[in-house]
Amino acid sequence: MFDLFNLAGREARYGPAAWRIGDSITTVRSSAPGQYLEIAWEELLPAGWDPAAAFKGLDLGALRDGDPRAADALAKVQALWQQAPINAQLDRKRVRIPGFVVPLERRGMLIEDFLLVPYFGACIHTPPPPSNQIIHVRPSKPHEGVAMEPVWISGELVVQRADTPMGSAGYRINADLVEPYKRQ
Amino acid sequence: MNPFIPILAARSAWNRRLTLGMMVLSVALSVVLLVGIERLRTDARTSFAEAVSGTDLIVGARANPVELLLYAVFRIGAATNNMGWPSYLALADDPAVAWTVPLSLGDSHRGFAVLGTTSAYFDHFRHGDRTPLKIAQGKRFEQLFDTVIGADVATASGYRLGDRITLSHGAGDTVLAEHGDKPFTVVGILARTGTPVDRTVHVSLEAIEAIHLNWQGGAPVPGLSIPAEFARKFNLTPKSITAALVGLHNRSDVFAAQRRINAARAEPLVAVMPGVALDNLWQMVGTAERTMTGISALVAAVSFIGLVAVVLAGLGERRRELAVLRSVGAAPRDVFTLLAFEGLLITLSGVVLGLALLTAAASLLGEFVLTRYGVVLRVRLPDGAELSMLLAIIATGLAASLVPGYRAYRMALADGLAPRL
Repeated sequence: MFDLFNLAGREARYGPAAWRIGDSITTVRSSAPGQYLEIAWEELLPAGWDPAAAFKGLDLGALRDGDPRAADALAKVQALWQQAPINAQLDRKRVRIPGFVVPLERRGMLIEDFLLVPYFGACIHTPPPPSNQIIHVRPSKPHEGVAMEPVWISGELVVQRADTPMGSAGYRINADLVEPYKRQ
Repeated sequence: MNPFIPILAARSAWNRRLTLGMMVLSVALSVVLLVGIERLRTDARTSFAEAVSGTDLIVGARANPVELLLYAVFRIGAATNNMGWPSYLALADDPAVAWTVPLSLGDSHRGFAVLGTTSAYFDHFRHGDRTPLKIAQGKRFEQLFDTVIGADVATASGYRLGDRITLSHGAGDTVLAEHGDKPFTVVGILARTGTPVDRTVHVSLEAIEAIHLNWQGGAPVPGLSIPAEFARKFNLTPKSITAALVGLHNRSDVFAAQRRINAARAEPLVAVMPGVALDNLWQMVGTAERTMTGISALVAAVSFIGLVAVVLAGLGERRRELAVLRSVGAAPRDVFTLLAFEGLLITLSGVVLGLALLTAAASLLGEFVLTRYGVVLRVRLPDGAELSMLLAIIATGLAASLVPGYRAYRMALADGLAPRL
């Protein structure tokens, strides 16, 4: 749109009118995948890892209200979720994934370094996304954008091992392409 | 098109230079408004973004995140509360944290902010594109009353290495009292950064404690005098700081770390992600910016309507001129082109004059805006959005001048059929 005088406001376009807090992008296979493998956020979790294992075999219907076993099982799931193991099979793969931009380094109107998260906004009531659901993106050329803008990232995924016993592992993508995400 | 038309148009316009000069000025002012606002937007965003780099979180006493960012990094506003030293130590111990730099603000020196910090500041603080701080002359502070000053402090006040300065309690225009009994020695001068660092006087955290030893509640205790050389006899560990800059081992941990700090039980704290807080700031001022741009667009429209009105009004007394042109062989469409070209000429002159005025204003006001608001007004040729705006203005001016052009064309036709002088 030739919004010459920026009257619509770039920031307004991605604001509450367009997305609501908690919205996530359900990956729609787009029309031009190219040579990048399109992945969903669930694929960043290692295959066979089941954080909800504590709920298997637990018949919620049979429990009383306020049963400690229900709370225990939920606490186990939460603790497991926060461990955030990474999927090593995706290392060095060329992938394409959509998400929301959280800027880290800016230069004027350009974002040089950002994090990609799976859902819009920061919902205070639940923990933030664990480190295996966050991607640290370095675009090949700085991207003009605003916080919480939905984009498609295409590039090589690198699994960053924890370099110290205290650090955690994470994902990095050196993005060749950063394209806007259009909601269908 | 007849090659003489532009020359004729220019000469004819020069003949009416007073009236048309006013139109040129009017177009110039609307250009100043439109391009000026756009330039200010971009320059403000660039200046603010360059002021801090490579910092994952800024932590302070719980306040509006944007307020904390503005105060801790840009020295705009004031802190409502300080962060306790034990909280800072707990932060430094957090396993996800790689480095921390404490900041203590509040005092000033001749209008420049005084920052109490540690030597880690010179190691970890980055600005612009992850550029570290460079000491142009001298070294970092080592002795208790050493100070390292920013480039603008040195240039504005003429300080050199070895000079002695005294700090004032409080900041801003009203300075209430001096810490006169404890002068500082300038041991280092930083290289220019183009950020608020240039206008800051850096001292050690212990020094801030030392100068406030005999102060209680914003004023020195009468009769209590602690000479500078005895300051070390007291415990100079700070009790509180204004904010801390935090760098993490893994940048992806920022959300979890932020949540942990925000939820800390010991003290109400807030952890701010600078990039996100800046975006919030621009979103807040965005409405005001867009309103101003809308108003400037209206001003430009008013200016062009005035242009059309003036040229139309002048057509009446130019009938003779047009008739003379017709009689020497100018076709009606040549008359049209003549008027259209005149309008284009006025618009172009207005644009050039407007850019010149804008450049002059930026040069004159640059120093003031930099000191007050921390925004660097860069003097440069228009680019990107500014250029499209200018092209739109020129196109509108051309379209506007088609109206008198068409009028003149019709008049020339009518006069040709029944000349009346």
